[in-house]
Amino acid sequence: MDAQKLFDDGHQWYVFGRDPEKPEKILDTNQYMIVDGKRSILLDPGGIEVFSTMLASVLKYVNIEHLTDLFASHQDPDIISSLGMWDQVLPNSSLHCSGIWEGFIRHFGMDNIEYKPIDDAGGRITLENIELDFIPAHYMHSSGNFNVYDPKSKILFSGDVGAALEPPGAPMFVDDFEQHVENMRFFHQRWMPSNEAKSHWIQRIRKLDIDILAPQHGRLFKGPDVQRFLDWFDQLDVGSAIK
Amino acid sequence: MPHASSQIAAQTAASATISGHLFRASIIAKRMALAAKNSRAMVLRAGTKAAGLKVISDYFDGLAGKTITLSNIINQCAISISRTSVRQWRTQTFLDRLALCQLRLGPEKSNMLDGAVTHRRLFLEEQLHSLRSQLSELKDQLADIQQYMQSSNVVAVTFRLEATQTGEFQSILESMANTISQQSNDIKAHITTSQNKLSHFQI
Repeated sequence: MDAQKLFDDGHQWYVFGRDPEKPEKILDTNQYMIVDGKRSILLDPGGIEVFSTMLASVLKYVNIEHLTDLFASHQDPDIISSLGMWDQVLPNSSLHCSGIWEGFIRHFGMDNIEYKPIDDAGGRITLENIELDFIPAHYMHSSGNFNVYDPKSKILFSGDVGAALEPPGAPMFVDDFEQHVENMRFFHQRWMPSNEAKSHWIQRIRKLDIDILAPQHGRLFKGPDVQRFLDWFDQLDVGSAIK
Repeated sequence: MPHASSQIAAQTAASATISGHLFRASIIAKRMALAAKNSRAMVLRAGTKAAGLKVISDYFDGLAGKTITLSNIINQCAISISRTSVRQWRTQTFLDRLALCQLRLGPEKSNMLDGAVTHRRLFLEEQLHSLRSQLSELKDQLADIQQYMQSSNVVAVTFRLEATQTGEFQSILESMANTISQQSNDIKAHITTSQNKLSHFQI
């Protein structure tokens, strides 16, 4: 599994993905880890099939006892079906996810980890020194959905927003936005259910100072590509399955 | 899937199957209890000619009651086994994945996971211990119920013989004895299948 450091100034952001060992028909996912001293949080730790690779990858950068928090943007299997495994390896950690999914997510197996529900209006977590904001992204695409914004690194983890479906081995960052649009169009039209929710999310996100927009699938957006993405998404008609 | 995990998965499926068979056996036992009650009513109507059958009807009724109770207890036991198997399965799956992770980490870092491995292996041992005692309990209970059904068949033969003394009630009482005998055989078949499934557990 590839790992890249996205930020390193007091605390670190890592992205893990492009796993060449993952079973062929499984959708490629990006997992993120924020390390702040002796506390670290994994953002969308991934499905059960990537658990071993993911654990081995993160332990290259942190000690296991410093993995204290997990975040699930929503309840999908590619996001958090590995929970039953993390639950056994990190019994003292906490999982942050929308309050509406607790009863559902526990089906993945959760005997030890503490579930910390995020209120619909959003929330905040302090690791050792840094604060991270849980930004509401409801119906983008899940009905209880959050992004994570780090004001210090100016990175927004955007979950499924900005995701692209691409062949294995695609670069980690968008290098040609116009070309990349075609990898994103179907995903956003089909998975995102509501134009109203989309506009609401864009309005909220435009107020943030973002250097990197980091989705859970596909490539990350950097610098001017972040605004390009927001402008493109603003114009896109979504919810295509009922049209 | 590694061998240990697939073995436990097969056990989980087997215990769930046993639970299903036991549930069906308990339904038949309920029908058997009803048949026993009907036969007793018939024996009472037959009067003195069928006096010898009353004791046998009461015996069937008691046997059916015990079978229902035991089936329910066994069914609960099979469900517990299924739950223990699932816990064991998940833990084994976790250990398999952890072993892969340790390979990837290499000798320098793999010891970071030693604590988790030891802790979960201990848990797995506890689960195995529970499973062993639950399986031994289930084995004994299945043998008990099989013994009941054996007796039920023997008594059904006596019932049939006694029924020949009851004149116009003979055919109806014989038919009742056949029903009870058939139901005993059906329960026996479910128990035999369960015992066969149980013999595949390798712990």
